Amino acid sequence: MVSGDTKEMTVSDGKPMRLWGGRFESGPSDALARLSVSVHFDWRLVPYDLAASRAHARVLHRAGLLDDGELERMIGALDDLERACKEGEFRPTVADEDVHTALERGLLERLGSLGGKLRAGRSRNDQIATDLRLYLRDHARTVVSRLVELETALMAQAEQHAETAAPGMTHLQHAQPVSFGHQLLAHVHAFARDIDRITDWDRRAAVSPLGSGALAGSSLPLDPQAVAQELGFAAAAPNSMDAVADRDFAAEFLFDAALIGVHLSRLGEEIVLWASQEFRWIEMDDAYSTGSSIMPQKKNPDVAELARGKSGRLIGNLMAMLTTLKGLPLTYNRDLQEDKEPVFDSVDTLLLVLPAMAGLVATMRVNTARMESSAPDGFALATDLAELLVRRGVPFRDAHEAVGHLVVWCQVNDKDLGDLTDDELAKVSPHLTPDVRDVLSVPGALAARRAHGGTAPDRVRDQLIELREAVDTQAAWAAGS
Amino acid sequence: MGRGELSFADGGGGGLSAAPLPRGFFDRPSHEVAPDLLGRVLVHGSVAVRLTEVEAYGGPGEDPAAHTYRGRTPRNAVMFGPPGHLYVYFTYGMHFCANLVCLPAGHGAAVLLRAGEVVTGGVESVVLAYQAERHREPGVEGRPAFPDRIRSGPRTGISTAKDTPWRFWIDDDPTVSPYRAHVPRRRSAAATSVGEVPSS
Repeated sequence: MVSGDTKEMTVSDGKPMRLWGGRFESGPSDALARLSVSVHFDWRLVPYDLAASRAHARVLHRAGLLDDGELERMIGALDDLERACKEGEFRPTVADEDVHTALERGLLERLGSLGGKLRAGRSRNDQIATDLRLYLRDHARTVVSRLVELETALMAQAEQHAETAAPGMTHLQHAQPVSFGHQLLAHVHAFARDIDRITDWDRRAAVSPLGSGALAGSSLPLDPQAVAQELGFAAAAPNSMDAVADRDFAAEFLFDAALIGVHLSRLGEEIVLWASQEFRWIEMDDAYSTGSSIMPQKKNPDVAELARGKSGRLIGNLMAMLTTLKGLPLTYNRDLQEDKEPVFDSVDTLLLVLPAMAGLVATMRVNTARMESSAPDGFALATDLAELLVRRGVPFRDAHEAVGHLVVWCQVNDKDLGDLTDDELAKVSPHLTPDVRDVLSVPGALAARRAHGGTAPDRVRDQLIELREAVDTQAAWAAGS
Repeated sequence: MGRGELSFADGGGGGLSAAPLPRGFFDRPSHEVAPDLLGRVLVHGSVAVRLTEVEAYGGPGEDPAAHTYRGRTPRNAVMFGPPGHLYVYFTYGMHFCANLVCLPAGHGAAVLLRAGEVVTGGVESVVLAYQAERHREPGVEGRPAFPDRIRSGPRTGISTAKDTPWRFWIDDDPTVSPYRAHVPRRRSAAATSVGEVPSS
């Protein structure tokens, strides 16, 4: 990556090289040059630009535009340039407008005039669209790897806590007891859908723009399908104008990243709550929490808060991209220089947040006793009581009313449902016989919700079996098979 | 600069089932088996451990840091056994060290298991399981860690073959031990480095 310090970037030979200087008598103003430069952020496309160059060199050779010896020298120089970039020996200068210009300079330094042959039949317009697709398809796999690690951490905790009862909530109020494992797996399903969206996105992103030239295709006898194949794309773009103008793949990826951000934020918010003094459901490992500079007793959930906070930039990057695209006539417009930073930032953000969240989840200790003792609070078993009456033939409307009265009576008399005497139950409704107390137990309430998708521990274990299989498939995709 | 990898079709990893790995998995040089073990789960008796840090050791005459460097002895005989077998030794009066044998019988190569996360069972039961069934063939199952998570470097606390990067670990995993270079010490000094492998 290039340093942000522009003083480090100097013009090596005094005269900046431009790919478009032919018809200009004077160079650009400093103000334009500063506005126009993108090499400080597009430098990270180096490996992809060079890979595309190698593929392009091979089709030039097949078209008879490079002889055997020239191809060999060209590939050798591109390989050497990649090494020099990796080792920091070759660096962009301020005078290099963008990554393509910088790398062409490197090629000319190595090959002399032969280096200039590579530009035949391609344009920066099809090059940059290709580079960005390659970058994203590569990094999408890294993002999925990190998502799989987070899913795995959540599933390991869910397995430990399939039978741990927690107060399930709606409106952040106690609603019905649930298995804590069930709640953790709810988050896994969200991340599994995110991965599903990315693998589906990849099918549409697997189209190669190279060969489209500036906008109209090439008059040279090149073979875009061969280039596509070499670069791991499924096919070459069928329409050259669409190929250089289309950034749907970037916008769509940014949506996927934004929704991952939303899911991370919702999980983060729950962890912040769980770790609070009011909940005390979990304790965070020291390695994934921070202290206060002034209050020695504090243990703060910074990882979860940053996951929540950084969702803002993930959503912002999507908005920036859509807004940049919305008014553009076909085909390439310079506005598209703005397509890269949001993409890079979203990828970087996810690769920062995901490992931290996976570590936080993997190492958190669940305060099982605390969670289970509060599971029946707030009359959380009232629905179980009403459903029992329904099983005994009472219309749900009447059951709902009877149990509602019971709850009010409990509140007035400061009692919990489980504390009621036989007489007190009978006073509220003749249906409330002493044996209804059997359903007023948390484990009983959990086990009863045994229909498909329910929170019964057995169903949670079934879910785990299915999820493990799905996550293994996702991991295999990320690893390249 | 990204991973610089452009091939989407190849790449390893991503085992699909929880079935134990076949014995053939271990029928490879130990430095190839070692990184492929990371992230997988070793199941032995009633305990399961997710492996996070391992070291590869070669056979007689090829790896001066290995127990088998000077050939077969009664103590290291298991290490010359069939691939996938467990070789456990007791060292410094305090540490049990577990190894998985690699390559066909007679090669004397193995992977030392340095760290892991106990998935089921407790730390004591892990040691007891090792003690009770030192020669059994444990099961290894599950998915390996993603290749971009695996780091390698010199093995910990050994005085020979310092430049051989045969220690492999999962980056950023809380169970992985900090690297300790070999420090020459008096024979009588008590060892503190868990899993340290003597060169003789």
